[in-house]
Amino acid sequence: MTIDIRGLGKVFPKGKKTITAIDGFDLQIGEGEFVCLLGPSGCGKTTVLRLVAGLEAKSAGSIKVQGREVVSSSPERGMVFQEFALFPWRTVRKNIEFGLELRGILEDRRKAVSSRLIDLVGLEGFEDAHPKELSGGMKQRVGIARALANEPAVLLMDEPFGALDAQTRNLMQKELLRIWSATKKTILFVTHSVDEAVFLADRIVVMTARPGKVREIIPVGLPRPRDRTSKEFIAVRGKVLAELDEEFEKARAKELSPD
Amino acid sequence: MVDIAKELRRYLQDNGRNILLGLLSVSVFLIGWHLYSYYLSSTDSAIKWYVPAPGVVAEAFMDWFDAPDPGTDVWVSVHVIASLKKIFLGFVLALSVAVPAGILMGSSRMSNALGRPLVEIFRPIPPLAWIPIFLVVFVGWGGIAIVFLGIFFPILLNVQLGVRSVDPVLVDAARTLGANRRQIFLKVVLPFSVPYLMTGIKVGLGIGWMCIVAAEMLGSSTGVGSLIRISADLSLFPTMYAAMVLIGILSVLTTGVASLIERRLSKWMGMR
Repeated sequence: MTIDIRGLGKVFPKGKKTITAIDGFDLQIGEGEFVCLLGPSGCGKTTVLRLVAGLEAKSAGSIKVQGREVVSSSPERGMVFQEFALFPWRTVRKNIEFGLELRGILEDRRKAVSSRLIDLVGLEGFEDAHPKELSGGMKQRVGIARALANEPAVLLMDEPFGALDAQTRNLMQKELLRIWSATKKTILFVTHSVDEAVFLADRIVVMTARPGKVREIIPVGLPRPRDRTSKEFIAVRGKVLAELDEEFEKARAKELSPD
Repeated sequence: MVDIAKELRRYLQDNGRNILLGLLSVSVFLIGWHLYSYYLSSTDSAIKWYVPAPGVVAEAFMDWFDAPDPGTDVWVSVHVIASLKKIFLGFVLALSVAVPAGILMGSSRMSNALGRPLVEIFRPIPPLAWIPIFLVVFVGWGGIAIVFLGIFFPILLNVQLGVRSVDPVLVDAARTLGANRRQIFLKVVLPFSVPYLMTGIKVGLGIGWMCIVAAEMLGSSTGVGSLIRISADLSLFPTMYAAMVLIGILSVLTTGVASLIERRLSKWMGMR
């Protein structure tokens, strides 16, 4: 078990009241597994991811990664952000080497690692470019390479392709599967796109509306590469959509209620 | 140096149109000035002695290259160096206090709560107002203290703004990559604030030059500020105007160097 989440809860203060964002969330993810977290907006998918990353403190329950309780952020849990979050003053290579630099790894070794990753994510020729010179898809390639440089046990991805256009998005999904099979990382991937989840995941975790917990875990069970137009793909999509629709309705009803 | 020349050439190429427009407005101003002084010279008004034609001012300016200044009897370079020295010392002192203070006030709510009222009270006080006190308290350093005040606040406020503007997602990214607080500060907050610091320096230097006349008001016989005062006292009005032009030129040159560094740095840092 690479990630073991039990009874996870998160409460945010809001003025004098508090908001329960996550309540009784349970999820176990095996080594090398690709899991997508799906749910209506505001259900706390990103919060779950940030809690696993250690960027926020949990209010209840436990999160274990490789058997150790998460207490703070750590390079063993790499994260990829929707906003890319690249350091604008650093070149592609220097962005990728950031984590290695923090650990005081010498330049020769850093360079060897970053060169290997630049090859892996397909950024040859852009080593010395700054982020603002890159397209969105290329930026996220840097984001993925930067997270991988620390050789994390898990890769946490927060709607990483959400800011990309549809074409680039499809390409990046394929690229991510290629990188995943090359690195065999455990991936927890947050998305609000059913299509993306069915295309990528081994299992899809559908969350409930707030307070967020696991509503249903749907194994995709289709061989890769997946064909979005195949009957089987559409069937799984339909199943996920049906689950999600009910939660969307609940979320909407809640939004409309006076409280 | 070669690099700066190249940069300047590119700047001129990119901004040719704007430079022409600038020349146009300056020309219109000079023509207006010339016509006004021409009109005055045909009247009996005493004002005419106070408003010499731009050509006369230009002559007074050029005279500085051939002979010592008529009013103060020293070469104009002595005045320029004296003022540059004040600006430089005031700048270095302001930088060394404003940067740490700005970082502190930008990163800690408590230091901001402590420092903010002092900043708000002292910032609007015109440097001129300090002259009597500073000349007694700081003696020979009174002028530098006044320049210091002018440069201090823009740097302080811009550094504070820079530190505060750090994108939180960059801090998150650094944390997930294993950065501790010290590393976040050194490798995220500091580089992020550098362009803001440069803006503060640019604005501060401009204000520093605005303070130079005040800084040299009393107790100083050299410097371009003194040059203005002494020339006016001796009714050498063309020289007085030439000294005003000189301050403008010096200010443009120093802030120009600062903005050149700012642009190069921002570009090198990939921020713009």
